[in-house]
Amino acid sequence: MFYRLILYKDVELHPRFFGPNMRDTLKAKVTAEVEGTVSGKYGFIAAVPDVVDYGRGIIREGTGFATFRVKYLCIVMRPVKGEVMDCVVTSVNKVGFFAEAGPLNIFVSNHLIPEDFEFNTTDDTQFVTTDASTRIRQGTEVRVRIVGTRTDLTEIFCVATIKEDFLGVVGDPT
Amino acid sequence: MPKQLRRREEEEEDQEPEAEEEEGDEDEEEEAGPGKKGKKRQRSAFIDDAAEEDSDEDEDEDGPSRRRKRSNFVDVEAAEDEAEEDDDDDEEDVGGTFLDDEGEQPTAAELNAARQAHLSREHRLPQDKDMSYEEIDRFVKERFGGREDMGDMDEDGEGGGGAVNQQALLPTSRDPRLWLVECKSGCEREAVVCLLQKAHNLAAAGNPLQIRSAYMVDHLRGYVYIEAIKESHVTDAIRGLRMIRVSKGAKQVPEKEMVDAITISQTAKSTLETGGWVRIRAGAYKEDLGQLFSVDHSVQRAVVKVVPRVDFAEISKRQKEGGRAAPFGRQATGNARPMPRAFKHEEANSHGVLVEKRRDAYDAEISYFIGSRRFRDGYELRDVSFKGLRAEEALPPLEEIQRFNQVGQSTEEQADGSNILGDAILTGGTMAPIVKFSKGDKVIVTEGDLRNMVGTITVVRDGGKNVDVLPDMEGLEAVPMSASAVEKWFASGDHVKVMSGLSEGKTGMVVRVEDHLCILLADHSREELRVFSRNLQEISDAATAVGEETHAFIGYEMHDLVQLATGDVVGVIVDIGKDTCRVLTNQATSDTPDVRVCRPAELKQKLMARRMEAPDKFGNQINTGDLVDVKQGSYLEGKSGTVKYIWRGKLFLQSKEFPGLGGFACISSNVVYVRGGSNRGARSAAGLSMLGMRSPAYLGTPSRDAFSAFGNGFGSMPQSPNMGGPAPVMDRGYGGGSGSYGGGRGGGYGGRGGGRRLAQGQRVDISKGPYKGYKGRVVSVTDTAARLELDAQYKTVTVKMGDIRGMVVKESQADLMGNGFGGHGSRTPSHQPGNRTPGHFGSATPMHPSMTPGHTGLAGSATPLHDPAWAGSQTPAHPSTTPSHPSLDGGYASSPRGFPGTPGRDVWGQAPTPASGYGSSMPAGTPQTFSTPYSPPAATPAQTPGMGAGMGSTPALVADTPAFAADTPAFAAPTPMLDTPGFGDGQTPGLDGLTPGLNGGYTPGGTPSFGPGTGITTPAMGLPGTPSLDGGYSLAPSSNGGAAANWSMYKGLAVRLPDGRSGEVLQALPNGTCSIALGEMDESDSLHISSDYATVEQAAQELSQVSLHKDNHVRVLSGPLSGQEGSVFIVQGDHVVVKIAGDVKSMAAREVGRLVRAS
Repeated sequence: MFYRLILYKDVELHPRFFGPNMRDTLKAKVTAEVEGTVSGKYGFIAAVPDVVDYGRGIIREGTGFATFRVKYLCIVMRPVKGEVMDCVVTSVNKVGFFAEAGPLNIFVSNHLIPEDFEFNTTDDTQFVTTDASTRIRQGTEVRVRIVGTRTDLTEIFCVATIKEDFLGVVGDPT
Repeated sequence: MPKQLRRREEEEEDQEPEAEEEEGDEDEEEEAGPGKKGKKRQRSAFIDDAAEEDSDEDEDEDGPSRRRKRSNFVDVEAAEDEAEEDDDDDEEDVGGTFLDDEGEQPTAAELNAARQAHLSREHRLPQDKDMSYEEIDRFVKERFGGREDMGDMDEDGEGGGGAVNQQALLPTSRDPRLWLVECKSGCEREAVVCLLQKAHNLAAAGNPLQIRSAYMVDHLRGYVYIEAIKESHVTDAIRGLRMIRVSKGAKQVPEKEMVDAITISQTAKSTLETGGWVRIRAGAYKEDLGQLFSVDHSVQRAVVKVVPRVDFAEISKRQKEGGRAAPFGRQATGNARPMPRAFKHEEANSHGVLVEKRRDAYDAEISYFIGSRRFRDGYELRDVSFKGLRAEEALPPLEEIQRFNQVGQSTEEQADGSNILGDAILTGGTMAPIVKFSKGDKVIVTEGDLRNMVGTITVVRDGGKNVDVLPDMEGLEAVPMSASAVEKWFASGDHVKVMSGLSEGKTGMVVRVEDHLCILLADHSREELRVFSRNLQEISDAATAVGEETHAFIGYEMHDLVQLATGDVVGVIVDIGKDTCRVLTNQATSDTPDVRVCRPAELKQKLMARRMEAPDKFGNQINTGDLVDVKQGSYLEGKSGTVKYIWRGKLFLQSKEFPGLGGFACISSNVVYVRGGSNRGARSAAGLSMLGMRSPAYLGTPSRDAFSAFGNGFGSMPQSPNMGGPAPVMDRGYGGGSGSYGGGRGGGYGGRGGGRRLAQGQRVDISKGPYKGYKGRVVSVTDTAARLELDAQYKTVTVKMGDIRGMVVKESQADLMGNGFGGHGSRTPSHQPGNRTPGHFGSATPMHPSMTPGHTGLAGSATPLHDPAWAGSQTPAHPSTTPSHPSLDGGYASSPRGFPGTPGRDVWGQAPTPASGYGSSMPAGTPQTFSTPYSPPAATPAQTPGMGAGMGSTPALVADTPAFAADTPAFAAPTPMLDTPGFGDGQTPGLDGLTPGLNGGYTPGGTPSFGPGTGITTPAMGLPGTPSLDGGYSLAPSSNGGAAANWSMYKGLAVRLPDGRSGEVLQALPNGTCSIALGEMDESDSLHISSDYATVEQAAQELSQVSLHKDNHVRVLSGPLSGQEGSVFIVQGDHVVVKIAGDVKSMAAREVGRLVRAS
């Protein structure tokens, strides 16, 4: 799920940037430092569309750097238990498959794949239904429901299921 | 105790007078006065006491009273019947008399009537087969009427009804009492069976026993319970049974304790029960896990199913020696304990052991026998005394159970792996596992009214025996429960930690729950674990983030690079268990990873391999954190991963594409290539320039690994800043310093060697072998051979490296070069010097600008360095850095440059490095990227030093001119060489430049390689084919090697700038910078410069030539005629015929530059 949040970030700015374009620099800096990171509390910070307030810089003694408490708007992505999302399979192995939804890594265990799918390595490593009509392999788009999430310092990992109604393969690139 | 009993006896005596009352109403006793009740209550500990006490009571002590008691209930009829059975008891006669004595008691008739009524109630039903439906109904109501209301409650009762019902089942004062009688220890069962038989017989005889039931409990030895309304009924019943101590009489169980008496206590139950798990205490099976097959509490023995440990060879030997006597006698000393294995009779037969197949006397199932040992389904059944067993307190570890169950599986055809666990759980379920609950655990209630309710533990009391469970449903309050009535509960997606067992300490996410088992996906190793849910505990995300792990590997963490104690083995910890960890080592082959299980002592130390690097397949430098693709020859082929550690040519990669092992894999660095980022760019750029420069070296020496050198230089040169900035003064010291730096680096790289020198898609010449003379495009390359797609034939052939001579640069590559990749840039500096050198003159290509690195003025450029003075200045630095340098110092003579064949090779390798250093910096700033000054020229031994030096200094050089100027003198010295005939010959542009050095002083050997081949091929060379810009020839090519040194010849030329504009060179500074007046080309390709032209500064190397047309004024830029001017007579492809001073000369188009106007 995506949220629009206002967060704060302390940014240090080198004195050489003090000047007319300082705000742009600050914004670029915040964006660079924050985008793509994971906050255990909020989730993935997907984008920083705007800076709300640059704050007032405080010059640090000795270094000349200025510290700004920048208040920025951001879009965060945080998976929630029970959420249904579409993702793309990145790898398949016998215990299940891994998929990605943007920055999110998702694992679907073979226990959470309907029984009529079987693991098969003859052609490609994939899960194939017994009638061979549907297959899950690298690149397949699947719709999953998240059953659990784990947040580390640097990543969010989800376990998801496709063993429910209306879940499963939604598209195959080939 | 005895006292209490005695008191009881007395009490019975006291009751005598009231006996008749009791007789009529079985409740009488209960309803007796408070005093009596009190007394009875004193007996409250009755059961236990009875159980513990020995029969030390004096039998005769209260003989009469007992007799009297019994007399109340003696049936005349029964007494007669029993008389015969009574062998040792003479009391019944007395009893008989007693009966008569009880005059005041109800008359016999009354008694009889009462009893008949009772009996009819009890017994009539079964006898009256013809009872009508209504009668039956009435009978039922009559008999169980008391419970009717309870039944109703059941139906409409909700929730609380159960407890009430339960209460209603408790014995009331109207129900029969329980009596405890002593019997011989071990004969309890027999006694009960005898009573049953007796009851049956007497009932058949029409004189049934009046007791209601009799039973024994296994844990209470020496006693039997009998249910009866009156004690006399009991004494009647037991009279004559020899195993019962009739003389001791029956002791009544107080009402309050009746329930307890028939409740089998939890502790007593849990000890040993069929299906439970035990361990054998001693012998060959010591500490082995066994499952109770059958248990006989009366004899304190059990049959235990164990995994056989059989040494067939030993048995066979004994059978042969001494027949079958005691084949399982004492273990032969010194013999190792046989491994536990499933029993297979075929295997036994193959050892010549006699195996008997027959039905087991115990249960008539077919078993195999070896001597007295019994085998069934692969297990051995052993009869063991309780003392030899130890009950497992909790369910044994899953792994052990699995191993145990597999034995059975392996012998059954229908073995189905899936139920291995199923069995384990079923059988394991009979044990009361010890579960440690803690506050906050989610539990599900498994027993009682609240069964299947899910809740959270709020309080753990009594050391874990009781818990309070707060139901998940809202509005309910916490319910106190026994811990045994709840089980841990998890749902898919929960994040849990394993609290015990082999996987202790691991964390994972629950993906599936099957009864008592949870299937986890381990966080780190990404493997599936199967763990009993009771061994799990839910954890918060924060807990893993902190990652406090309780394992024996203090100081180590998951995914650390560690060195093992044995040999030169390093690896990455991919899994940490309680006492062991798994290490993915660097000993992996291309097919399989090598994973070792290590204990803490086997880990020597943690390695900090932070700044390690390794070359990839193409010689690119790999650093940690790089993304690499696995090329071939590995089970990981086609996958890619992030380099986590590098250790001696092995990479530890991590990627979620890799199965298991936490996504780690170990692979040799030479089967991967680095992906993306600057490294890639560096590679191509470096590759190109290398080719150019190298070619000489190349041809000769395969060992060189230009690529790596370049790549390295690229990334890492710290000096770049200098480059960018202007270095106004050429300081020799400075230059020297940097040179040394470069040298140092170079040395390092030089050592590596062995990379590939050809890039796919490159075009090369074949100089030897059956395909001599062909040209082709490289399809694939190995260290020793290349596959080429021939230009002339539609054919792909394999050619030895040594047979490949020059290289032809692909256009795209040329472009790259033009762009001024770092690599080139680096050289540039050296270039310039060349140019400047006065000495170089002719050779000096002012124009060279576009010149490809190799080409150029290389010679020239190099030369400067040559200069002794120059060299001298630097020398100091050199020695320190490269070993090879010394040679440089000594004299250029030793062509460090790495001519083909020359020992200098290595040196060469080093030399470039510096260059690479530059390269890195170059991009930063120097416009004059081009060329590889080095190249061939550099190659010349003489130059080598220069090279190094040049390189070193380059930074400074780049910076510019002034410095150069200073140097020039030095150049001069070298120059002579340029003049050498070789030079002259080497008309070939590229060649010339370089060759001079070569020819002059240098080994002929070297030259050839240089020669045409090189010249031509080197990208720099500016083959006709290499259109560097706009189709026009680049200036560089046009310039002759010799001419390269003199940029001043550019003056007045019409040139094209890299950005496409064109103009006239107004002035060419000695450092190669030209100031250009911008103009416009018209359709006829002539240049017009307006009066208010703008001027730009541009490095001469970057300028390219404009196309030539008939009658254009041109200046010859290289060759013996350099400096001469004339006009174009004919343009033919890449050759022009030029009229010079009335003479007609044919020369390569690139050797001439078009003048804006005739001078």
